[in-house]
Amino acid sequence: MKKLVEIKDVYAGYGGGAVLKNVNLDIYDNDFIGVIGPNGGGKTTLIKLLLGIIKPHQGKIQWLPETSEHEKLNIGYLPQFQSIDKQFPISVLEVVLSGVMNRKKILSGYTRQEKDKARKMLSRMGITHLERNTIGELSGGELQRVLLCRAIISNPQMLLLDEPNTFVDNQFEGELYELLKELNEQMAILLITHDLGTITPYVKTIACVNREVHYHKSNVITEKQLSAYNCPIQLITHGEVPHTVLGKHNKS
Amino acid sequence: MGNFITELLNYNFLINALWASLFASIICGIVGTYIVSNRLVFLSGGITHSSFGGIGIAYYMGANPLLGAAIFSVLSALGIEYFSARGRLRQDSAIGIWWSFGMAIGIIFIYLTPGYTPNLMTYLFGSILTVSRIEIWFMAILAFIVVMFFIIFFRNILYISFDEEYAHTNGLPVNLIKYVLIGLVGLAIVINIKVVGIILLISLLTIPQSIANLFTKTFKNIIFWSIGIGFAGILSGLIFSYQMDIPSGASIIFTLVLFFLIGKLVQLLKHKIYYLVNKNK
Repeated sequence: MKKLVEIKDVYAGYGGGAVLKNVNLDIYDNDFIGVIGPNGGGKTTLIKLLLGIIKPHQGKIQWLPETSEHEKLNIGYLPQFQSIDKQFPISVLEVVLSGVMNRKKILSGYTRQEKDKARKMLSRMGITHLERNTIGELSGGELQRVLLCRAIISNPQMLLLDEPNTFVDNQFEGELYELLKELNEQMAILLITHDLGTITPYVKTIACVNREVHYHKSNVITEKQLSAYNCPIQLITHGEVPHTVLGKHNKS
Repeated sequence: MGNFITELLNYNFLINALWASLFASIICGIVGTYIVSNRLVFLSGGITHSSFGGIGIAYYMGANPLLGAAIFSVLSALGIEYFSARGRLRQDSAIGIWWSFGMAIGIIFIYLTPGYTPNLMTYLFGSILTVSRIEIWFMAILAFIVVMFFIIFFRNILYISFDEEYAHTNGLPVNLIKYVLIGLVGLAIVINIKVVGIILLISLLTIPQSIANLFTKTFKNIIFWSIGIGFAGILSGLIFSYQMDIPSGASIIFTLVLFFLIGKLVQLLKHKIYYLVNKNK
């Protein structure tokens, strides 16, 4: 097991205010973490922290803490669906290829191998025929697939997904989780979800994010534990038959 | 029409206007596509109008008005980018304030300038026929810079525009590119003030793109189409103004909007025919 990220006593947020308080979290290369928590609790902030888009106010975050400084952690990222401008004039193939942009020198185009790889990604998602379409012509589910292609085309060591199941049809949702399970053999995955119910057989551990981050080293979590974590959310416990229990909301 | 062409060959100012049309359409075709795709139309409107402040100050100091406008508009473009990147202000309100404040400064300084202020209307409403040789050279240089910048950094620009955050995580030089682009927006605006004027300028940066977007959907193609449509629009507007003896700036905008309506009609017909053909299959 290789440690990919180490977060120590981190406070972070936008502007002056801290959304996340006292975060301690280590991510290893074979992790599959399901991130749950109320809206505004800091789930997306956590992802932005991991991506290096926002810097901690206090504390320390280290990528690949145990290896030499020259090695850079390759992170794949699927942003929140709402953050994408669906009317932007860009083709599906271009979006997928943008996932390998960091390896490009200025002016050099994409190689045949890169284009082939992008097409392979699209065919894996079953959307080869949409290659030349612009993203405005896609359904929500199709666009999610394109964004997922972009996130994994560079074979990242860690994959961050911000609610990948938004606007996805039920059939693809199942396929998506199977795909993630497969990908998890090669990369760590951290997935934000509102719907822990369907994902719970796939995740290995659960992180509850509500200002603080409580890391739960199992994919089974009870209402009692959740309330101890101060994490009001729809939750699942699974025994013989998986079932869903609604957690109580905080009155405070 | 024949009249226009014979006179074109005889008068230098008409040849200048022709060159100005060409460079204006190249600059506006490229920069305008960036503006429209990134929804920076309102921002660009603000920069355009506030540049009047620079013109007023330059008049007062006896300097070249376009130089004043250039300094003013590039600084305000960079300033708006800087402050909104830090999330310190509500961008649309700030643009609204800056928009009118710039114009107010312009009006005050022009009022304070002793004597008659010649050519003021030229800056407000444009006059492509009065574009000078030296201004053509500036347009040519800016067109060259814009073209080179977009060729070299095309993918960077495209990806940063589409998903800035992702581009950032991908290690692209997001801030650098954005500052250069917004600086180019400022310069593109100033250099085209003579063509259609401050009040009408935003249309040169948006109408060709809107027409192009009816028929083509990718960033690169919108740029090419916009340049062509812009050139055709400015030229026909110019001829129209010449024949009808009406102000060139307004005539150009009028022609471009006419093009847009025709484009919309063609698009509707295309869909209709496509539908009929497929129904009969």
